[in-house]
Amino acid sequence: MITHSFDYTCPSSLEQACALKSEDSVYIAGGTDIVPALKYGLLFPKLVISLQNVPGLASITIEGGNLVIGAMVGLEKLARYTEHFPNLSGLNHAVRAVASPQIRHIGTVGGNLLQEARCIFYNQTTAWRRGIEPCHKTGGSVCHQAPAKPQCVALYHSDLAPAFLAADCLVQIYRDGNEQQLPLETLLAAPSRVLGGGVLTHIVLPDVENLRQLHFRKHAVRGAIDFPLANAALTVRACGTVRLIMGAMTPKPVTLEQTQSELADSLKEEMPLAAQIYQTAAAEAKKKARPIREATASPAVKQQAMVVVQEVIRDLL
Amino acid sequence: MDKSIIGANIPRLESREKVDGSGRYTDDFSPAGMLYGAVLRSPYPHARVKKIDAAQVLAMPGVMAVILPQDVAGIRYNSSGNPPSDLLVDDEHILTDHPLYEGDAIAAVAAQTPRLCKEALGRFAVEYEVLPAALSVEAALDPSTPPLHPDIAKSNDFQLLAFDQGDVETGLAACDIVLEGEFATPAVHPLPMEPTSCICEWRGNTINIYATSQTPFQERRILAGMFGLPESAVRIVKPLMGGGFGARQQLHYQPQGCLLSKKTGRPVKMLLTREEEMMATTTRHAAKMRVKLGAMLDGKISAMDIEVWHDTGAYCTHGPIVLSAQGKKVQYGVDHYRYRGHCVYTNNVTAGAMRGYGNPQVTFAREMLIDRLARKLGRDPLELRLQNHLARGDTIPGTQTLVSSVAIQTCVDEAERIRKEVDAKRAQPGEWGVAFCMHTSGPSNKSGMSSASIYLNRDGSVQLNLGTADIGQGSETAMAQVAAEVLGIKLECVNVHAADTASTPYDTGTFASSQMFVGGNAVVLAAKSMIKNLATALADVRGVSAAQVGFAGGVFSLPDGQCSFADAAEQVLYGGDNSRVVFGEGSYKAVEAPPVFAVCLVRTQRDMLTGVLTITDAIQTVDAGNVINKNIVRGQIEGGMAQGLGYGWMEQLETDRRTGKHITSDALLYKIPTAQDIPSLYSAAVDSYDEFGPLGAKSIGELTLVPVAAALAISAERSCGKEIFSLPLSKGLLLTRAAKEVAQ
Repeated sequence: MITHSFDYTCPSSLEQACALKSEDSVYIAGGTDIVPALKYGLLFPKLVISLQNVPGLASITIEGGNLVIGAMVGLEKLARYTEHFPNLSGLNHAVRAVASPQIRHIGTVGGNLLQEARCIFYNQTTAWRRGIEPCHKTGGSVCHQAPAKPQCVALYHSDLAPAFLAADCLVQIYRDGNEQQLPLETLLAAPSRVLGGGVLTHIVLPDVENLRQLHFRKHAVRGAIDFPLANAALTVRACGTVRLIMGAMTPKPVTLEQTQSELADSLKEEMPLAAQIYQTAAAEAKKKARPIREATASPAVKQQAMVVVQEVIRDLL
Repeated sequence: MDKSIIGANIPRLESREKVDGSGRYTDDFSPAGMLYGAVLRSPYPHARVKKIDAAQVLAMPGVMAVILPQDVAGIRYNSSGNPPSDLLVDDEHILTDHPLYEGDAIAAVAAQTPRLCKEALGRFAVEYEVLPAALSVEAALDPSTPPLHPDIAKSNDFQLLAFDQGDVETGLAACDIVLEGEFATPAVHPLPMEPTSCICEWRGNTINIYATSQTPFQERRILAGMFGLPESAVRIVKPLMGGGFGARQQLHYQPQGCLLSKKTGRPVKMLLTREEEMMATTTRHAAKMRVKLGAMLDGKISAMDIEVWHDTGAYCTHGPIVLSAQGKKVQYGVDHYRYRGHCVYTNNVTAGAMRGYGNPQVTFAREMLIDRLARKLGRDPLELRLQNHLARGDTIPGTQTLVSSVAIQTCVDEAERIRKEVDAKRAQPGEWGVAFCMHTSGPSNKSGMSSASIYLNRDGSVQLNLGTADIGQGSETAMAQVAAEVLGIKLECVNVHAADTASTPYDTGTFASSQMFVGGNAVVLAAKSMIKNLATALADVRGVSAAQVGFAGGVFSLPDGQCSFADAAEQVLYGGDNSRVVFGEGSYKAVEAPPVFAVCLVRTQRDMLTGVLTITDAIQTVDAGNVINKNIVRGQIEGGMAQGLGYGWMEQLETDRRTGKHITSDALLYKIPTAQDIPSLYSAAVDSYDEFGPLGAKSIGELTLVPVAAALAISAERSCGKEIFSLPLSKGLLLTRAAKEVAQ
């Protein structure tokens, strides 16, 4: 139940939306991340600004060889669209891996990318949190996951982000009357600073034709509903570039550079993959992971879930 | 038997109203003037309330009443819905200033809206002294840990249950092989879809309650005693229920609801949130188990030594009775048997009744060892178990319970047939895990009792009144089938009214897989009594002697011809001077608790690169006696398999040791399997008939969950070559996926 009172508005243009935005307001798209946060007393906005009536944010088009996905495109819509592109099968897997059919019917692509990092000590009700000291995210100065750490170590669980990052996606941001294009990586590094009250309008997947393969794997405790314990995405472009991204093991998805460069070398030489590459991948993943405890999964179990990196390599055609 | 009624695929009587939304659950009722109630809960697993001030709460417009620990200080009780027993300790308070687990009830508030209630809970000014908490059995048993209830027991290990047969030490010493292991299973929650709820109305000297209740008659007894009222002044009605699984075999927040109603003079609805459901209702006991198994080289298992420590949480509730039931569920004919069960207080969520009632824990440990024995001896795991299985006429080790029927060989044959079909379909190699189990029909201490009354209508239709509570398992449908069969009338001519303490006769309660066996027997007796009474009345009306009236297949025979059941009803009700109203009544007290048996097989396959296990298939065949309703039995088997897979694979209530906080506080954080996670399921109930059962039926409710986690863990152990000692698998370093997910 949401006990906190707020105003709700549905502006019909980006200009109006941005004009309404202040420190005391939040944007809402599908609401599958925001509404639970309101129910759990994690957000206290005075104004909730729905983007549902803003035109132009809910279509998927191909423009100049790029796939342009509106931030308000529903996850189910993206899943259906990507079914028709064999080279986007991994993106299709990633979308289908999100939550459940009900959530995919209301959740949006932009909302999935901009979801808050999650933690078992943070995503709890106000009454529950009365029993512990406030943490970095609730106005205190402790991290219950890692009391020795000076900052929050919560993890980012988007299933779409690794796939989009592996595909070198850009994001379009509307702010102060201008639309600007940035790498998705830049946005994810500091979403609120980068957005600065602006609106994420589109995700641009460049040069779709050049994308030969896109693979995605996820491991979660359950086959539906759950956020990933680990996920991974791998792309191969016609030009020979390989990108390998691991998610849900760090506050932002990480690139496994060494593995991706060894993979690129193997593919260039058209050699079958050596068994060694799986060990390289496992070692690099382990080195870069910063697992914390999640429900039903200790950090050690999360480490195990990084087999998704090996699985996604095995998926290479 | 009429095959269109008994053993048929009859849809449940209430299915339509559940699907179209017209069915009424507790929350669908709103008596005039109703308020909402909520409970202030301890945010700490162990604390003392130094000061509590409700002034700010009482100042809120719309807040109607508050109750505090001092208002209910003298009352101690045990909430368990078992019949009275010396084993049940009265250690619970309605509200407490010394909370013993996170979620313990400190104060309660009644207000005009649920939102006001939630806001009010935030405005209690409470000063706590946080105390050290014992969050595991080990911590609770540490000599430095003070007892949770010093007035009741000096040690947190407060009850010991023991069963013996033969001499286990000598027996083990004489064995060729002794296997042993220490096993652990987690606390789990049944997560019924409908949250725990009640509406309590205290008016004058009477109390009316609608509640999610498995044991309305026991709850009435406890409440009447608590408030000093005659039982006739307390009425409990159980509306439609969205699951129970044992968790509602007890009082929850009816005492608080009643007191809020008394104070305000208005009905009060208490509806738990999912978080409260997870933290402040009851769970299946977490168990630590030390098991020894002694066998001869020919495979004969001759000695079994089981010692169990159950984490019962902060309060006793069912604790000792769960252990008592657990010790009496061995279906192998061992000569030497020793069972020791320790009930241990901790500062964890209170454990209570949950499907299987102690049986799933020990079945897991025992079957793991039996499988290791099979591998050691190079024996087929099914055949080794069959060699040691109890036969008809045997008694269950450590008990006087008779095996009155057993169709285990047929269960194995049917499971093997299905397994061969599955193997033919699967391309990748896999490993099967096998587990057997038994359960009883009705409480193993034979305390089950039920009754029914039948009222006859003019057209031959009947009103069947039952004390039994259908909590979603379909017992009302099955009871109607039994009545229709015995009376020889159509199913649609039976209308069932059940689980209302003011208008239905006594029933021990819905637990211990009782309803079909105990309740069904009461219905048979009531129907036979109806036939007898109707025959007598018909004889009077027709001027013949009762001995001249016969009955078979729904037809009365008289010296001058035959008369249908409906004609007899019409003649008796409107038959002139001798007409009368006819009732049937039956009371059944269990004389036996016939064991039921299951064979479960689970198949996994392992990815050689990643080590990930895939659960591909699960088979379960059962001997549940004569099947009354195929749909219901299939639903119970498949539901049991799903819940059992969850138990073996992913479910566990988790507490963070550093903060003492209960992590798995909602249905996202607490994992029960989704449809995606369920592998291909195959089930069968084999032909069987028990002489003590109503129309030959035994029970099915709990049995089907019991062997599943064991079969899964055994399959995983065989696939990975690594011994498994604890559940769930997902907690260990075993990654597991269901076939459906892999197939995507």
